[in-house]
Amino acid sequence: MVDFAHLFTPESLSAFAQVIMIDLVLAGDNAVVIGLAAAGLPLDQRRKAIIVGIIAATVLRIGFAGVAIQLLQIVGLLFAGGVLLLWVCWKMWRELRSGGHEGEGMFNGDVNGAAATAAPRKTFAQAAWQILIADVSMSLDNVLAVAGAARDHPTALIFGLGLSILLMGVAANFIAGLLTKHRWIAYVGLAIILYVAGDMIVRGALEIRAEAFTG
Amino acid sequence: MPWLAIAFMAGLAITVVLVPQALVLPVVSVAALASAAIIAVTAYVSPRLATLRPINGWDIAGALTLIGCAAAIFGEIEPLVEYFKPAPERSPSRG
Repeated sequence: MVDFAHLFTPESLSAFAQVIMIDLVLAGDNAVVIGLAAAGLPLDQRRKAIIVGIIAATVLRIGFAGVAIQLLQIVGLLFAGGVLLLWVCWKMWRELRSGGHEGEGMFNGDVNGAAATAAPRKTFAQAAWQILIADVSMSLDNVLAVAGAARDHPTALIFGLGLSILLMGVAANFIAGLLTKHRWIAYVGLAIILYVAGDMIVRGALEIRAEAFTG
Repeated sequence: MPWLAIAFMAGLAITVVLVPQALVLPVVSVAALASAAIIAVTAYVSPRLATLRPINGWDIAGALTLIGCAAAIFGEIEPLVEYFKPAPERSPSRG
Protein backbone atom coordinates (compact mmCIF):
# COMPACT_ATOMS: atom_id res chain seq x y z
CA MET A 1 0.00 0.00 0.00
CA VAL A 2 1.26 3.47 -0.84
CA ASP A 3 2.31 5.55 2.15
CA PHE A 4 0.84 8.93 1.25
CA ALA A 5 2.22 10.60 4.38
CA HIS A 6 5.70 9.94 2.96
CA LEU A 7 4.82 12.01 -0.13
CA PHE A 8 4.29 15.17 1.91
CA THR A 9 7.60 15.28 3.76
CA PRO A 10 9.77 18.36 3.04
CA GLU A 11 12.28 16.14 1.21
CA SER A 12 9.61 14.63 -1.07
CA LEU A 13 8.01 18.00 -1.79
CA SER A 14 11.44 19.44 -2.55
CA ALA A 15 12.17 16.54 -4.92
CA PHE A 16 8.79 17.07 -6.60
CA ALA A 17 9.46 20.80 -7.08
CA GLN A 18 12.94 20.06 -8.46
CA VAL A 19 11.65 17.43 -10.87
CA ILE A 20 8.77 19.62 -12.08
CA MET A 21 11.10 22.52 -12.81
CA ILE A 22 13.79 20.34 -14.37
CA ASP A 23 11.23 18.61 -16.56
CA LEU A 24 9.79 21.94 -17.67
CA VAL A 25 13.29 23.02 -18.63
CA LEU A 26 14.28 19.76 -20.30
CA ALA A 27 11.05 19.01 -22.17
CA GLY A 28 11.44 22.36 -23.92
CA ASP A 29 14.21 21.32 -26.31
CA ASN A 30 12.37 18.12 -27.26
CA ALA A 31 9.19 20.13 -27.89
CA VAL A 32 11.02 22.62 -30.15
CA VAL A 33 12.75 19.93 -32.23
CA ILE A 34 9.57 17.83 -32.58
CA GLY A 35 7.57 20.94 -33.55
CA LEU A 36 10.29 21.97 -36.02
CA ALA A 37 10.46 18.56 -37.67
CA ALA A 38 6.69 18.13 -37.78
CA ALA A 39 5.97 21.60 -39.19
CA GLY A 40 5.22 21.53 -42.90
CA LEU A 41 3.74 18.05 -42.84
CA PRO A 42 0.04 17.63 -43.62
CA LEU A 43 -2.11 17.79 -40.46
CA ASP A 44 -2.71 14.03 -40.10
CA GLN A 45 0.99 13.24 -40.59
CA ARG A 46 1.98 16.08 -38.30
CA ARG A 47 -0.03 14.55 -35.46
CA LYS A 48 1.50 11.14 -36.16
CA ALA A 49 5.01 12.63 -36.19
CA ILE A 50 4.39 14.34 -32.83
CA ILE A 51 3.07 11.09 -31.33
CA VAL A 52 6.11 9.17 -32.69
CA GLY A 53 8.39 11.81 -31.16
CA ILE A 54 6.72 11.67 -27.76
CA ILE A 55 6.66 7.85 -27.65
CA ALA A 56 10.32 7.70 -28.70
CA ALA A 57 11.34 10.30 -26.11
CA THR A 58 9.41 8.46 -23.38
CA VAL A 59 10.84 5.02 -24.23
CA LEU A 60 14.35 6.43 -24.50
CA ARG A 61 14.08 8.28 -21.20
CA ILE A 62 12.84 5.18 -19.38
CA GLY A 63 15.56 3.07 -21.04
CA PHE A 64 18.32 5.58 -20.32
CA ALA A 65 17.09 6.07 -16.72
CA GLY A 66 17.55 2.33 -16.16
CA VAL A 67 21.20 2.50 -17.19
CA ALA A 68 21.97 6.07 -16.06
CA ILE A 69 24.89 4.98 -13.83
CA GLN A 70 26.54 3.03 -16.68
CA LEU A 71 25.93 5.89 -19.14
CA LEU A 72 27.62 8.36 -16.80
CA GLN A 73 30.82 6.29 -17.05
CA ILE A 74 31.03 6.48 -20.87
CA VAL A 75 33.32 9.37 -21.77
CA GLY A 76 32.42 11.23 -24.94
CA LEU A 77 28.75 10.23 -25.05
CA LEU A 78 27.59 13.82 -24.58
CA PHE A 79 29.95 14.97 -27.35
CA ALA A 80 28.63 12.30 -29.72
CA GLY A 81 25.05 13.29 -28.87
CA GLY A 82 25.85 16.92 -29.64
CA VAL A 83 27.38 16.03 -33.02
CA LEU A 84 24.31 13.94 -33.84
CA LEU A 85 22.05 16.86 -32.99
CA LEU A 86 24.22 19.16 -35.10
CA TRP A 87 23.63 16.83 -38.05
CA VAL A 88 19.85 17.09 -37.47
CA CYS A 89 20.24 20.89 -37.45
CA TRP A 90 22.07 20.72 -40.78
CA LYS A 91 19.29 18.61 -42.34
CA MET A 92 16.64 21.03 -41.05
CA TRP A 93 18.63 24.03 -42.31
CA ARG A 94 18.81 22.51 -45.80
CA GLU A 95 15.09 21.82 -45.78
CA LEU A 96 14.32 25.38 -44.71
CA ARG A 97 16.62 26.80 -47.38
CA SER A 98 15.19 24.64 -50.16
CA GLY A 99 11.66 25.42 -48.94
CA GLY A 100 12.38 29.13 -49.25
CA HIS A 101 13.33 28.73 -52.93
CA GLU A 102 10.24 26.71 -53.74
CA GLY A 103 7.95 29.67 -53.14
CA GLU A 104 6.09 31.24 -50.28
CA GLY A 105 2.66 29.98 -51.24
CA MET A 106 3.03 26.56 -49.72
CA PHE A 107 3.76 28.00 -46.30
CA ASN A 108 0.82 30.31 -46.14
CA GLY A 109 -1.75 27.70 -45.26
CA ASP A 110 -3.87 27.78 -42.15
CA VAL A 111 -2.86 26.12 -38.94
CA ASN A 112 -4.69 22.96 -39.97
CA GLY A 113 -2.10 22.42 -42.67
CA ALA A 114 -4.35 22.86 -45.68
CA ALA A 115 -1.56 24.32 -47.79
CA ALA A 116 0.95 21.80 -46.52
CA THR A 117 -1.38 19.09 -47.84
CA ALA A 118 -1.20 20.66 -51.29
CA ALA A 119 2.61 20.72 -51.42
CA PRO A 120 4.34 18.79 -48.65
CA ARG A 121 8.06 19.59 -48.50
CA LYS A 122 9.17 16.56 -46.59
CA THR A 123 7.92 13.06 -46.01
CA PHE A 124 6.68 11.59 -42.76
CA ALA A 125 9.67 9.20 -42.72
CA GLN A 126 12.15 12.10 -42.97
CA ALA A 127 10.46 13.96 -40.12
CA ALA A 128 10.25 10.80 -37.98
CA TRP A 129 13.99 10.07 -38.45
CA GLN A 130 14.94 13.62 -37.51
CA ILE A 131 12.78 13.42 -34.40
CA LEU A 132 14.17 10.01 -33.39
CA ILE A 133 17.81 11.08 -33.77
CA ALA A 134 17.21 14.32 -31.88
CA ASP A 135 15.33 12.41 -29.16
CA VAL A 136 18.26 10.01 -28.68
CA SER A 137 20.65 12.94 -28.21
CA MET A 138 18.47 15.04 -25.94
CA SER A 139 16.83 12.31 -23.83
CA LEU A 140 20.28 11.13 -22.80
CA ASP A 141 21.18 14.57 -21.49
CA ASN A 142 17.77 15.00 -19.84
CA VAL A 143 17.71 11.68 -18.01
CA LEU A 144 21.07 12.25 -16.37
CA ALA A 145 19.87 15.56 -14.89
CA VAL A 146 16.51 14.25 -13.66
CA ALA A 147 17.97 11.00 -12.30
CA GLY A 148 20.42 13.06 -10.24
CA ALA A 149 17.67 15.19 -8.66
CA ALA A 150 15.17 12.43 -7.86
CA ARG A 151 17.13 9.20 -7.45
CA ASP A 152 15.66 8.62 -3.96
CA HIS A 153 12.13 9.64 -4.96
CA PRO A 154 10.78 7.31 -7.68
CA THR A 155 7.27 8.80 -7.36
CA ALA A 156 8.66 12.22 -8.26
CA LEU A 157 10.58 10.67 -11.15
CA ILE A 158 7.43 9.04 -12.59
CA PHE A 159 5.40 12.22 -12.04
CA GLY A 160 8.09 14.24 -13.80
CA LEU A 161 8.12 11.84 -16.74
CA GLY A 162 4.34 12.12 -17.10
CA LEU A 163 4.51 15.90 -16.91
CA SER A 164 7.24 16.12 -19.55
CA ILE A 165 5.26 13.84 -21.92
CA LEU A 166 2.20 16.07 -21.55
CA LEU A 167 4.27 19.22 -22.01
CA MET A 168 6.10 17.84 -25.05
CA GLY A 169 2.85 16.83 -26.75
CA VAL A 170 0.99 20.08 -26.21
CA ALA A 171 3.99 22.37 -26.79
CA ALA A 172 5.16 20.54 -29.94
CA ASN A 173 1.64 20.77 -31.38
CA PHE A 174 1.43 24.53 -30.75
CA ILE A 175 4.93 25.14 -32.13
CA ALA A 176 4.33 22.99 -35.25
CA GLY A 177 1.09 24.90 -35.91
CA LEU A 178 2.87 28.25 -35.56
CA LEU A 179 5.80 27.22 -37.80
CA THR A 180 3.50 25.86 -40.49
CA LYS A 181 1.78 29.22 -40.76
CA HIS A 182 4.73 31.54 -40.10
CA ARG A 183 7.65 29.63 -41.60
CA TRP A 184 10.31 32.25 -40.91
CA ILE A 185 9.98 31.53 -37.17
CA ALA A 186 11.44 28.08 -37.93
CA TYR A 187 14.85 29.79 -38.21
CA VAL A 188 14.44 30.92 -34.57
CA GLY A 189 13.61 27.33 -33.56
CA LEU A 190 16.61 26.07 -35.51
CA ALA A 191 18.89 28.57 -33.74
CA ILE A 192 17.61 27.28 -30.38
CA ILE A 193 18.37 23.65 -31.31
CA LEU A 194 21.76 24.73 -32.67
CA TYR A 195 22.50 26.27 -29.25
CA VAL A 196 21.52 22.99 -27.54
CA ALA A 197 23.82 21.01 -29.89
CA GLY A 198 26.69 23.47 -29.36
CA ASP A 199 26.24 23.35 -25.59
CA MET A 200 26.34 19.53 -25.61
CA ILE A 201 29.46 19.52 -27.82
CA VAL A 202 31.30 22.03 -25.58
CA ARG A 203 30.39 20.18 -22.36
CA GLY A 204 31.27 16.86 -23.99
CA ALA A 205 34.62 18.20 -25.21
CA LEU A 206 35.45 19.53 -21.73
CA GLU A 207 34.56 16.13 -20.27
CA ILE A 208 36.86 14.34 -22.76
CA ARG A 209 39.65 16.84 -22.08
CA ALA A 210 39.33 16.39 -18.31
CA GLU A 211 39.40 12.61 -18.72
CA ALA A 212 42.45 12.79 -21.00
CA PHE A 213 44.38 14.86 -18.46
CA THR A 214 43.39 12.85 -15.37
CA GLY A 215 43.49 9.35 -16.61
CA MET B 1 -3.09 43.04 -30.50
CA PRO B 2 -0.52 45.61 -29.32
CA TRP B 3 -1.90 45.48 -25.75
CA LEU B 4 -0.78 41.88 -25.48
CA ALA B 5 2.78 42.74 -26.55
CA ILE B 6 2.81 45.66 -24.07
CA ALA B 7 1.55 43.39 -21.28
CA PHE B 8 4.21 40.80 -22.11
CA MET B 9 7.03 43.36 -22.14
CA ALA B 10 5.77 44.90 -18.88
CA GLY B 11 5.67 41.46 -17.25
CA LEU B 12 9.18 40.74 -18.51
CA ALA B 13 10.50 44.04 -17.14
CA ILE B 14 8.90 43.40 -13.72
CA THR B 15 10.40 39.89 -13.64
CA VAL B 16 13.88 41.18 -14.47
CA VAL B 17 13.63 43.79 -11.69
CA LEU B 18 12.05 41.67 -8.94
CA VAL B 19 13.37 38.15 -9.44
CA PRO B 20 16.96 37.07 -8.58
CA GLN B 21 19.08 37.09 -11.73
CA ALA B 22 19.64 33.32 -11.80
CA LEU B 23 15.89 32.67 -11.71
CA VAL B 24 14.77 35.20 -14.35
CA LEU B 25 14.78 32.81 -17.32
CA PRO B 26 13.06 29.93 -15.45
CA VAL B 27 10.36 32.34 -14.20
CA VAL B 28 9.91 33.78 -17.71
CA SER B 29 9.64 30.22 -19.02
CA VAL B 30 6.94 29.17 -16.56
CA ALA B 31 5.05 32.46 -17.05
CA ALA B 32 5.18 32.17 -20.87
CA LEU B 33 4.04 28.54 -20.83
CA ALA B 34 1.22 29.34 -18.38
CA SER B 35 0.13 32.30 -20.56
CA ALA B 36 0.22 30.05 -23.64
CA ALA B 37 -2.03 27.56 -21.85
CA ILE B 38 -4.50 30.30 -20.85
CA ILE B 39 -4.62 31.75 -24.38
CA ALA B 40 -5.02 28.27 -25.91
CA VAL B 41 -7.96 27.50 -23.61
CA THR B 42 -9.49 30.91 -24.43
CA ALA B 43 -9.02 30.30 -28.18
CA TYR B 44 -10.60 26.86 -27.78
CA VAL B 45 -13.75 28.24 -26.15
CA SER B 46 -13.89 31.51 -28.11
CA PRO B 47 -14.19 31.14 -31.92
CA ARG B 48 -13.56 34.90 -32.29
CA LEU B 49 -10.03 34.65 -30.87
CA ALA B 50 -9.34 31.49 -32.86
CA THR B 51 -10.27 33.06 -36.20
CA LEU B 52 -8.69 36.51 -35.90
CA ARG B 53 -6.61 37.69 -38.88
CA PRO B 54 -3.71 37.91 -39.55
CA ILE B 55 -2.67 36.53 -36.15
CA ASN B 56 -5.07 34.40 -34.14
CA GLY B 57 -5.10 32.98 -30.63
CA TRP B 58 -3.38 29.74 -31.66
CA ASP B 59 -0.49 31.73 -33.18
CA ILE B 60 -0.06 33.66 -29.93
CA ALA B 61 -0.19 30.43 -27.91
CA GLY B 62 2.44 28.92 -30.23
CA ALA B 63 4.70 31.97 -29.99
CA LEU B 64 4.45 32.04 -26.18
CA THR B 65 5.21 28.30 -26.09
CA LEU B 66 8.33 28.85 -28.21
CA ILE B 67 9.40 31.75 -25.96
CA GLY B 68 8.78 29.59 -22.87
CA CYS B 69 10.79 26.69 -24.29
CA ALA B 70 13.63 29.00 -25.39
CA ALA B 71 13.79 30.66 -21.96
CA ALA B 72 13.85 27.21 -20.34
CA ILE B 73 16.67 26.03 -22.62
CA PHE B 74 18.80 29.15 -22.14
CA GLY B 75 18.25 29.13 -18.36
CA GLU B 76 20.55 27.18 -16.05
CA ILE B 77 19.21 24.20 -14.14
CA GLU B 78 21.63 24.37 -11.19
CA PRO B 79 20.22 27.56 -9.57
CA LEU B 80 16.74 26.05 -9.77
CA VAL B 81 17.78 22.80 -8.15
CA GLU B 82 19.61 24.79 -5.50
CA TYR B 83 16.58 27.01 -4.89
CA PHE B 84 14.22 24.07 -4.33
CA LYS B 85 16.54 22.21 -1.98
CA PRO B 86 15.50 22.24 1.70
CA ALA B 87 17.36 25.05 3.54
CA PRO B 88 20.03 22.95 5.38
CA GLU B 89 21.12 21.33 2.10
CA ARG B 90 21.73 24.61 0.27
CA SER B 91 25.25 25.52 -0.63
CA PRO B 92 26.54 28.41 1.57
CA SER B 93 28.04 30.24 -1.44
CA ARG B 94 24.61 30.63 -3.03
CA GLY B 95 22.88 31.74 0.16
